[in-house]
Amino acid sequence: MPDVRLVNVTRTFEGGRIVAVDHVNLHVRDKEYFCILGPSGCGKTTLLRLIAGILEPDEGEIYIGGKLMRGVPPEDRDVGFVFQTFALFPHMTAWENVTYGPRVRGWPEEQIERVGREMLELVGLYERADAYPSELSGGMMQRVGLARALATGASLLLLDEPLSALDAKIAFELRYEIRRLVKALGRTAIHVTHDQAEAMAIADRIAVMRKGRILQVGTPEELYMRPKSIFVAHFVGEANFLEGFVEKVGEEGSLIRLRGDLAIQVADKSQPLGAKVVVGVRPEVLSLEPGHLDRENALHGTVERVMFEGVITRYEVRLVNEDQVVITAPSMMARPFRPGDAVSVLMPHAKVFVFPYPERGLKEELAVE
Amino acid sequence: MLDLRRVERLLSKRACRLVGDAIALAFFALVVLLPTVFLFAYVALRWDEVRYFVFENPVAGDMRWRRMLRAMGLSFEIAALATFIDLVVGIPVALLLARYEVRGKRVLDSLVDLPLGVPSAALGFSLFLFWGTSDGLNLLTRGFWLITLTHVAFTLPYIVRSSVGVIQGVDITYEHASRTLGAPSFTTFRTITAPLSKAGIVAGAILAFTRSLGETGATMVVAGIAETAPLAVVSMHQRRLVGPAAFLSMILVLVALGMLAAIRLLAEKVGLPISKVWPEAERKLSGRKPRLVRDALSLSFLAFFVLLPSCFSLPYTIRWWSPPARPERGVFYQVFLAPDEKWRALLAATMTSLEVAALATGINLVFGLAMAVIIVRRNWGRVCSLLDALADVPLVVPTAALGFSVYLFWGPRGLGLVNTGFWLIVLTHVAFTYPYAVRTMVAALRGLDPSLEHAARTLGAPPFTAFRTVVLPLVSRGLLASAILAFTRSLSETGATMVVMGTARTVPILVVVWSEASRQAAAFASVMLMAVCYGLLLALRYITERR
Repeated sequence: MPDVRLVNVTRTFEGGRIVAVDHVNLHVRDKEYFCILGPSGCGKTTLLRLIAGILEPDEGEIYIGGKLMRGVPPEDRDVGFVFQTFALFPHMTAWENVTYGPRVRGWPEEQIERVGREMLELVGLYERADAYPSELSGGMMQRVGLARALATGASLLLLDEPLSALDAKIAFELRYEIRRLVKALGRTAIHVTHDQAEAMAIADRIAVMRKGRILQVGTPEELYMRPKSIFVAHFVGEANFLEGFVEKVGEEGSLIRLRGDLAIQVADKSQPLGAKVVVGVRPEVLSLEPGHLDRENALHGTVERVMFEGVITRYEVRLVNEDQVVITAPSMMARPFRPGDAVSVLMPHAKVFVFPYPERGLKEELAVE
Repeated sequence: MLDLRRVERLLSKRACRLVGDAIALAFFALVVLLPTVFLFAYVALRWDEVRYFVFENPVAGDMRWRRMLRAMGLSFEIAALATFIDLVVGIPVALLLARYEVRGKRVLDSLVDLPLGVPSAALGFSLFLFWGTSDGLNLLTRGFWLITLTHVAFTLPYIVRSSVGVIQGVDITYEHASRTLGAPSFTTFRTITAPLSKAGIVAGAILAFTRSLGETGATMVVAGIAETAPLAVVSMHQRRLVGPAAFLSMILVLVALGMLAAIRLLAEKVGLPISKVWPEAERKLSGRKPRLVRDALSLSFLAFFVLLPSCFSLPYTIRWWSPPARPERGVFYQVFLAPDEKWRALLAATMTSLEVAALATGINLVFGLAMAVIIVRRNWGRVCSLLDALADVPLVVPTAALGFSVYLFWGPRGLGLVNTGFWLIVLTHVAFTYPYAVRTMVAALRGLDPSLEHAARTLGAPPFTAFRTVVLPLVSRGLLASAILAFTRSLSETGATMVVMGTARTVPILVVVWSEASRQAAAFASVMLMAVCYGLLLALRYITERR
């Protein structure tokens, strides 16, 4: 059964000058819908191509279904690959595209007919079987691409940004359809994307990747609720980051001194006394009160901008220490703050992440490119 | 003082643009197209003369006609055989260059172009030295096989270059898709890469075929007593048999035009069997071993039948520079010390070659750019695509026939404006280098995002200013590339020049003449010509690749 295991996999380009995949260890379980999430250029597509056999790793080993894949060419790996650009053969009809895999494997004619029909029906395009790719819309093309990848019966499906070349609305529908099909057919899927909302919506588990390394693997909830690094907190969802140092560590948490002599009390006590830290907090966890309140964890500031975004309203507040924080609140419940209003930002004790200060600075750590 | 802005605003006026277009079109019609196809008019007007000399001669009967048929037959045989060999050897090499990461690929990539950079007369002479003299292998005498090998040598780069281009143009993702769907590499090539690049490969093959059909310079050196159609044109011209020469040239032009039409029609239609698959056999063919054998065979053919023979005059020149035993037989003595002072002739010919090439290139840069702009930017619908196709005509017309036609048009039998000699050479070279200039510039202009020009217009630049400040700088590399291409073509041309030169001489002509009289001098002239042309070609690659 196709679980996928990567052991210390490394792949470089241009004679080692570019390290695309850097000692990656990963285990994708059988029948799992697994997403690899990362900004563009993080090496996630390279990783997928290594699994497919389109590229070979410089170091490390890849196992599919327990079998070592070194030297096994793509045609013998029994994987299905869905491409960002669809890669439908332009000189073949939808039907010929879908039945290409069975044909080059030399399946008997009646089986080819049956599978072709089944797969095109599965994606709802049987009546367009004779259309050439140029006659199909983007969404249809990717459906054919999906049918083609599924048609060989490959139990491992690799999807390389399958939705990013599509219109937002189509992509939104298709992402649930892909997951439904993969689950219905009992296949394992590895789906690469840069869109965190997409990954969160469909993945059983997600690996967040950056600069060729995997930063964290977990369910969408784990990544959102308990990010292990500043980058994961930043890339999965949204977060405010404030610099400070640990002033006191006690029974019920630690006291963190921020810039400009502000201080907050948080439940997290993972960092030692005196350590330079970054406090991360999601915008929906913060709340706003009018006026400068004299309370614990009430940070004083001024509303700079108010952005109404439909479901939520977003406030940008400049704290008295010149740090900026973003607060979101459900629009229907929000109070009518205006730019220039003096407010207090209330920071809870829990649901606040404290990270050690990154070696190369906060800005570098947050860089997505 | 002249205000540049006002001048450009004036030049952007509709009337000015129309006048400019009219000049470009008139130049094309008068200097390129009409002289190239003037033969037809000549043959039609003097049909009696043609009939008298070719079909119903009181002395020779239709002997000349039968001789023409024989020459045509030989030309076709050689062209077909050479193209076949080109395809068999060229496609594996192209695949290697386009798709595989191998060590030394860059070197191989520039070596493949070597025969393109070697002027054909010099190439023919090198091959003759290699195959036919005791300094080389001494295996072949001048004649059919030596001609065929020579034609393979100078047409192979066309096949490889055009195939590499189209294969690289096929999105590699299609191949990845095919592989992940279970097709081994051979099946992938046969069912995906080949059908998608077939049009380009067929076009390359037809181009190679027409080049072989029309080649004169190299053939002349290696032909011996064999006579191909272009050689027949030259020899009839030299014997003042104008009617028959015109007639044979016309047939050659017709065949060439037929080929050009075929490129556009046939390339789309040729089908490859892609629905059938033989999994077992193809899996075997995709293995490592068959691929290595295939690569080794095609690369060694390239090395030993094309590259090494093509530049054999270089080691020859070095070896025979000044042999101590008999220095009077050496290259140095023959060129510089012998009483006939060949170096003077060589110097004069070099000056003529350079002047002709520079003039032809300069003229074509101006008028070719104007034409390219018309083809790419004017919304004249089908007229543009017609012009696009017509601009290619001189490309496929055998140069000997083209030279002859230009001679008929301008010379004493036509307009009577220009007699054989320097200026007629220039006019001829303008005609056959024109397509190279237009083709490259059309490509450069097409590659440019039109919204850049639109942006300049919305910012207040009149069309001419937008063209000068935005378009021209961005296509300047394309301009330079087309200039170098036209320059090298002109520098290395033989067949047409031979017909129109009168008493003037260019370097390739000297190579042909000396290949009989003095091998040492011919070798020296060849090496000199090769060095200049290949150097320019490397410069061209450098320029076009840096983008």
